Amino acid sequence: MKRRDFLKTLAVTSFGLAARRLFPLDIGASTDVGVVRSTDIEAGVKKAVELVGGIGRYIGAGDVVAVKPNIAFNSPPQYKATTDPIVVRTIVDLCYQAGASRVYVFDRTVSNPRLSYVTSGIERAAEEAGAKVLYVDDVSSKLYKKISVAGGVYLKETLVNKYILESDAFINLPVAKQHSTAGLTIGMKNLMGISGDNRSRWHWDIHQAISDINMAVKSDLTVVDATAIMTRRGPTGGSLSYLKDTDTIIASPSVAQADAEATLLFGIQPQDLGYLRLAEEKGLGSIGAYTRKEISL
Amino acid sequence: MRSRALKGLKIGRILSQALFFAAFLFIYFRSLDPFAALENPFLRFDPLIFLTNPEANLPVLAVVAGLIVLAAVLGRVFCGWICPLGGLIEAADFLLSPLRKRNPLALRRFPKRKALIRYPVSLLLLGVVLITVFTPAPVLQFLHPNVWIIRIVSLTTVGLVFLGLLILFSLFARRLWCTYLCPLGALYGLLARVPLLRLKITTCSSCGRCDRCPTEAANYADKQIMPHQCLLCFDYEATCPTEGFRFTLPRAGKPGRQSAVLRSRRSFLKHGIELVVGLAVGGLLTGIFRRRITELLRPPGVVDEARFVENCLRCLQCVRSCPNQIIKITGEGYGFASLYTPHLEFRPYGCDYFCQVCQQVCPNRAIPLQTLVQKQSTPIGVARIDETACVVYKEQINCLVCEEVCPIPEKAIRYELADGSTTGGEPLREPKMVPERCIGCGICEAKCPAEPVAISVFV
Repeated sequence: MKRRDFLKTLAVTSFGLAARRLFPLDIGASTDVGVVRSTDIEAGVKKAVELVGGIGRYIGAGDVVAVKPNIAFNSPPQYKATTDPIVVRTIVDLCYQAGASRVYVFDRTVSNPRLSYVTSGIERAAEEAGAKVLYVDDVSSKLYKKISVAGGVYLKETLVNKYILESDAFINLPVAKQHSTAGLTIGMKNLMGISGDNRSRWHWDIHQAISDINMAVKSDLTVVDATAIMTRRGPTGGSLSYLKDTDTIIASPSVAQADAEATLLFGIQPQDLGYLRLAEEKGLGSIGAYTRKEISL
Repeated sequence: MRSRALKGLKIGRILSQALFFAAFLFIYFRSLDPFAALENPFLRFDPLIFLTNPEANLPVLAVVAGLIVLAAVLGRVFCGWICPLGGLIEAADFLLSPLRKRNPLALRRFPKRKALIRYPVSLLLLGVVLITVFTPAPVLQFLHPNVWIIRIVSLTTVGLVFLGLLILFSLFARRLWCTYLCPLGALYGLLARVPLLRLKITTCSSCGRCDRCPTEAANYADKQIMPHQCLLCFDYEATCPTEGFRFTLPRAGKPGRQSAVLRSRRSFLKHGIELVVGLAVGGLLTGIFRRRITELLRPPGVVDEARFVENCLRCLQCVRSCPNQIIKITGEGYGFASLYTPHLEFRPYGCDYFCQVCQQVCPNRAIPLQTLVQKQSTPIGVARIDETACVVYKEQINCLVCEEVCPIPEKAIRYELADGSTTGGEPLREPKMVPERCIGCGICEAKCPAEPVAISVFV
């Protein structure tokens, strides 16, 4: 049986490989969530994006792309409080390969923006790949626009970064970690960083707020950095002993489904996470029933 | 000495002043970038500033000793060729010379000024400085030229008032600050009295062409140059028709040697008296400023408030360099001893856990330069939760932003499940301080969404 399985997989894979050369845009478009286990982060990101249809499905020639990693804190990359710079660099590279005209990388940080961008290694990685890095120092009307949130429960309207509203494609690049108020912070929670509101206040009704902002603005693609997950004392962490090596990259066009998949790494069921339950209720996608493809590199 | 050589020295001096002023400006503007983490060499390398914090400044001892030797060998060459404030004063003097010449109250019209040039008030001020550098009385901080030039270019109110004062001085005499008031100039002046190679008038046709010395160091009547006032500016020496200016050793001037020695002995005594009076005044000031002030939150690493007040130059480099802009200038209301010292106000970012910029730029190490681990474990103060303002206690809303943003890996804020529940039916989680873990970084205070703020850091 095992040998047969192996041969089957081999046949499917080689057929897939051959087919991808012929029809690069169509292959893999059928799966909702792509999961790659790999210690090579760059290869993992590329493979995960490939599993959900390849970058060409999300980025067209001449597109302006907004990329939003988690750069919330001034914290060195080894503590995994921020998205791995290699994930950011690989995604920016892929965007340009798909013909993007311009890629912006930014977050509205909790710590000082410049310190966080530099310490996290993301500024350098993004700039080396040719992206433009934006500091969000203050919430000015130049940078933010008020939009109404259709069906929002906590948020009726919110300020959103114009670079996202005016971009052709929006890629969400969260890191997966434990979060004291929200339970976990992955892709949906990461979108708090696109708003110009007083986000500390959102904590008073955090699950409604997170699901609302995800209704207001939808990312085209979410790629989760779960190479090592912070299992406690999040979202700041600050000790290697809090980390668990999971060597996983998750990609999905649905942020709720990407989060649901990442939630399992923590040994938590998606239904137990308030904002994921609300996301399903608010029509952001099923967090239990989705197609997934998993590959180990 | 040849006129051409003297002219060359004058041009060299002007170029040197321009160069050092430009370097000063460059360093100043570069230092505004926190990532430059630049120590200002004009403050880092200085004999008077060195004395305020000798053990922390030990690494720069060689440079400071070099400056002292330079002054002993060449006299006040720092004042004439390097000092950026001196350069600024000279520019103001030049621009205002038409007004000064018409000023009926210009100092040149008062013959009694000569005694003040010989025994300037700056010596007394030097005395005050020399005793107060070891005490919390902030005297040097308000007399040091290199700190004033920084206050001027950073356009602080006091700096601009001082600049106005300098411009006013320019209406009365050239280099008035340098001749009569500057304690650093007085120190270099004292060193210049060491009898080495000095500029002298050897021949003279009494034409008076050279009688324009900016500090009036030269007494043309008896052809003496006071080394403690000579800035080696070479402004008019080249116009001497007899080429009478020479660098000579004291023995060379044979005639009247005895009287010169006597005179110098008398002047030494008079200088000594001024210094001693200054020391006494300094002692008195020390008594007045002994009061310790502890209610201000100081930059990270400061553990000894008295030492900090004593060592802080009030140059405000930390205020300008802090990437989070949380270091503020202390104004009135905290006593003269704390005037213009830095203190912390944590909004909007708090003191970053991984940032040490203020420690790196403090030119006098008043904010001690620590290792990152030391910095991350030295308390600035300790946070306290105000349960009457916190929404968890007051309105049964789950919040925990303070716990979330606490950068201590073990978290100095934890939560306890309370008996009640939120309006949404969730279990209520009350934040609790773990004071022994708290380093008072104030990030919780900066991010607390309650109004008024429900968590604050106290000394």
